[in-house]
Order: sequence, then C-alpha cells, then structure tokens
Amino acid sequence: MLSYAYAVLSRWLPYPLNLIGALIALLVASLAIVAVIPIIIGWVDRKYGARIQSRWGPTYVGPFGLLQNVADLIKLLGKRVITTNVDILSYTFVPIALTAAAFLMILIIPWGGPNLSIVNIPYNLLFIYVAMAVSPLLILLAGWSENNKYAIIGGFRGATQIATYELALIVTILSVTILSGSYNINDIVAGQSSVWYVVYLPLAFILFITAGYAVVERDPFDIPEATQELLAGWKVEYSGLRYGLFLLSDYVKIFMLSMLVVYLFLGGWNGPLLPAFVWFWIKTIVTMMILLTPRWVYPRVRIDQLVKFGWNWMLPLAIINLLAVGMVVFV
Amino acid sequence: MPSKVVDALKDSFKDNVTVLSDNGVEDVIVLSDKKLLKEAAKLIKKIHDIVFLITVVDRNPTFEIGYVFSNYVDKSILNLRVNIMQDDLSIDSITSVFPSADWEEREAYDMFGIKFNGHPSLKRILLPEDWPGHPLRKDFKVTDDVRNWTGLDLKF
Amino acid sequence: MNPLDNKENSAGEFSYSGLGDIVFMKAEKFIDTVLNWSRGWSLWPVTFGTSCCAIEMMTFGATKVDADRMGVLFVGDSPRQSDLILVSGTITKKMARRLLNVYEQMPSPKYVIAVGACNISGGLYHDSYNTIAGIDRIMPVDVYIPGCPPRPEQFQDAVRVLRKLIQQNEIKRYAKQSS
Repeated sequence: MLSYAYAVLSRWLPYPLNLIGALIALLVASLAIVAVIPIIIGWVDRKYGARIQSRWGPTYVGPFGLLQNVADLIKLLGKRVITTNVDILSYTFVPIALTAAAFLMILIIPWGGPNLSIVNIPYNLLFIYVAMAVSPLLILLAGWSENNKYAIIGGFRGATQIATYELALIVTILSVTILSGSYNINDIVAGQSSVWYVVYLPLAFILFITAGYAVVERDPFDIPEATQELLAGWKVEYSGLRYGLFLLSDYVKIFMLSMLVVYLFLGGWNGPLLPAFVWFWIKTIVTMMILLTPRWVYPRVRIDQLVKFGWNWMLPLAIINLLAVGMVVFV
Repeated sequence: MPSKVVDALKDSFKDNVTVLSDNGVEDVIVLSDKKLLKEAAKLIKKIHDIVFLITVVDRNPTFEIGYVFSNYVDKSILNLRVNIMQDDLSIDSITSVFPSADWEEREAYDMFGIKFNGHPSLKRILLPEDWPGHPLRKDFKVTDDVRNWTGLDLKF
Repeated sequence: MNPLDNKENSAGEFSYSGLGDIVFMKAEKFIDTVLNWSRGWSLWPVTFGTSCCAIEMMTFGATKVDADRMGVLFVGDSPRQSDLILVSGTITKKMARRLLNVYEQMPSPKYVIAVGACNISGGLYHDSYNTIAGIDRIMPVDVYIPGCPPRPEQFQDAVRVLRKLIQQNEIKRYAKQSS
C-alpha cells in the first residue's frame, strides 16, 4: 500500500514531497484502522455477550448502540490521570509500547488479499509473532511501575502465562511454516489453494487457538486481570487515556488472532465463486465470533492449572506435532 | 443439675462462689471477687473449650459481666457472672486462657469502656478508634454532637 | 488540559476583545458538549455496597434491568477507571473513612449516586450514634434514589437523571477540584 501510494503521488509531486505524502497517507490509513477496528469489535463483543446472557447490550447510544465505544473512548480522553507513587517513566511507556506493538501488527498483516498490506515485508508472520511476544516484559514492567500489590501480582501472572504459552505458539507456527516452506503469509495462503492446512494439522489448529487465547489474555485465560481476585491486575492504577490504549490494543490483538487463524489454517482468501476479499472477511468474521464466545460461557481457570497445563500438555504436544510434520515433509 | 465444673468451682473457691438457679435448668454461678476470675477460667478450661459470649449489663452503679462457656463434646453451657463497680472498671482478661474471648472483650471495651488487663490488643472493634465515649453505658446520651461526629477532616 | 479548567479561570473576565477569543470560546463550547455527551453515556460505576440496597444494585446490572443498555458497564475494575460511585447501604462512622478513601481515588469527572433511605437521611438509623445520617454530610451527592431498598428500575431512572444533568453541564464542581 505504501508503494502504491508512492507511485500515485509521484505523478504530481517531486521526490521528497511524494515520499512524505505517501507516509502521511499511510499514517492516516493505519490510524483509521487502529481507531475504527477496536470500536467495532468492542461493540460486537458487548452486544454478542449481552445476547448470550439474554440481555440487550448497548442500545441507546447511536443506532443499535454503535456509538457506545466512541462515547467510552472520548470519556477516557477527558478523564484526569491520578498517579501516586508510580515510576512515571515506565508507567507512561508501557501503554505506548503495547499500542505500538498492536499498531505494528496492523501495518504488517495483509488485509484480505495478496500484497494488500500497508507495508510489505517478506517475513511478515515472524514480525507479527515478535510484536505479540514483546508483551510479557511490558506487563511485568507495568506491574512493577505501579507500586501496587495487585498490579505486581497481575504482572507476574501475566508474564508467567504469556511466556509459557508463547513458546507453544511459536512451535505451532513453526509446524505451519515447515509445511508451507515460508514465513510469508502470502506464500502460506498460496500453499493452501487446494487443501486447507486445518485438514493436515488439526492438532496444531487447536493448539494455536488455545495458546493464542492465553497470549491475548481473553477469558477463560484472563488470569492477569482477574477481576474478582485482583481488581484489574496489572492495569489497576491506569486511568484515562492510558487505560483506553489498553482496551484498544486488547481488541486489536483478538482481531489479529482471528486473522492469523484464517491465514494459517483456514485457507486465507482462497475460496470458490466469490472474490478473494469477500471470502477472507467472511472467514475472519465467523472465526472472530467463535473466538469471542468462550469469554461469556466458561469460567476462569486458576493460574497454577494454566501453567501446569501449558508445560505438561501444550508444549509437548506442539513439539510432537512439529516433529511429525518434519518427518512427513522431509522423509 | 449441678455439673462437675460447678462442684470443682465450689471446692476451690468456697464461699466466693454462689449458685443462682434462675429457671432451674441452667445454673448461674456468681463469682464475688473479680481477682479470682483468671483462676476460675483455668479451672473451667479443663471441661469447657470456648467462651462464646461475653455480656455486660450496666446496673448503675455496678457492671455485671457474664461469661458463657461451652464445649464441643456434650454442648453443655456454663454461665459465670462477675460484678464490678463503676469506679474501678477493670478486670483480668481471659484471652490467654480462652483465645476466643479476644474480640468479645474488645467489644465490651468498645461499648462500656471496661479495661481488660492483659489483653493483647485492647482497641475498639466496632467504632472508629478516636470515637469519644462508650455508647451503651446508661449515662451516655445521644446528642447532636454525637450524631454529627464524623471524625473526618472534610475538604468541601 | 481539562476544558472545564479554562472555563473556571476565565469566568470572571468576560471580554469579547477579538475574533480569536470568540473562536476559542466556540471551540471550548464544542469540546464541552462532546465531552459531556460521552460522559453522560459512559458511566462506569464502582459499586460500594454495604447492605441490602446492594442486592438491588446487582439486579440493576443483571438481565432484566440491563444497565449495559445505557452504557453503565460494570467493569468491576478499580476506582481508577470508574466515573460513578453507587453508594448503597448504611454507612457507619467507621465505614465513612473507607468510603471517602475510595471516592478520593477516583479520577476527576466523578459522580455520586446515593442509594436508599440510609444514605439520604440515615433512614432507620437516623438517631443512632454510629451511622452517618446522610452521606451528603461527608461527600457531594448528585442524585438520590429514595426507597428502602429502591427497585432496580429506580437505579435506571437515577442514571437517566444523572446523564441529563451531565449533558446540560449542570455539574460543575470538578472545575475547582482539578486545579
């Protein structure tokens, strides 16, 4: 998308201006995506969860309550920030860095077509994984900087949980990359033009979704911010816009997870009759609705159960899966 | 029906102990000297496990403290009563013998201002710690000062 | 930072000296309107339930009277992320300090709803030595809900009234506090 904007602007503008213009267009596009996607997904999440609990969910703000999350975000913008006894540098740094990581994922991931990403790079799957993997350190830093017992407990829990499950996640991703022979999402999708990888790798599919849940901290794995035990866990001292940034990056992460599931296992934009773009969005939305469901249906697990399950089952299964794929591909 | 404890108490404290039979079912033992309370508690501890209630009645000018002991085996109940005078509101704490007396004694201190000597942390349990007065005494009047007292340094 | 701040500071000297001021005031009014709109529609409560009114407060968030419809999201998070405190139940003199502690930890555009007779006037315990006879003696209250305990629908109505007050810019005490 950057090169396209650059090419279009080069017709009218001389050298430095067209690059600057292309970068501005890029910035506007990604900002729009960053702002709009969490709002829409947040609305879907609240409304869908409400319907599962036989409530109505947001109703009065805008048509069907669509502006509910807009109101929430504007309100968070206008709130005072109370900081007592915090380490102000790391306290301010963490929300910015987490949002930047989510922003990076948005820049790199393809948006429903070959080469339809904002920035095209060859190893985009690896980059997305790295952007996800940066979070345990930041969560620990947030928990430490807030100088609060709930925050530090939540920070340690979050770091433990995500470090545990990211290992399983990368091993699962490795099995997909061995099968397709590339770290590029375009190639992985091209490899699924006849058969989806979920047929070859059903175990990896399940492992990926489970580990992904733990990494994005959705219920039933939202142990770091367990409301009943830790108030808000490592977010407990954050207020105002900084808390809003956490909400934004949470929704971006769950959306990225559903897109990755579609890209890696469900054939990406491949499909008969309909155009590729439409196929991709149908698959993504269906996957996302399925991924949003467990939060409203299942209770939370305990941290020791989760970590034990991660080391005893997830990682060995992922490694066995990787070995099996390697044997089949190379032998 | 006098039980083993009552007999033992009578044996060791002789005429300092009187037994009142109020309703014929449960005896009330009145201990005349408050200094003997701790010894009596040690004796009672051999049979009874817990003190589950401490009551105080303000019968001006005396304060009547009632201890209700019980045990886990046959659920029998022993009532012990001690009278103390208003001008010397202090009595030995039995927390070292019966740990369950801790909060009960704190409550008695909170409401009546009775000092329990030897209590590990004798502070108020229900009311704020800087509250003036002891509200369940007969000479305590609920005035406007009491009603409006918040103890807060209000800023608005 | 807060547009309400500027309003408070410039309240004494109303002068239309130039175009810049007028543009500035228009922009300020616009920002006020947008902020108040969003504040009214997004009241996240911290639930301070001490007795029976809290049971009705739970019903307020549950299925039948759905608080989420009006943007009252029971996030259950810390006071740092809340805008509204629902004080429901008798406040004893010992609890008053904890209540004020929670209230002071909430960031600034914050609103108070006093629920039930005990919070409005002391209720059954108005003559007691141990209760605060109405929490408006210790903190500013925006909306009162009468009843002992009130019905969940009354909570809904209170939130509606509070939203109207906010959106008509009737609640102005935070301009002083945040300076």
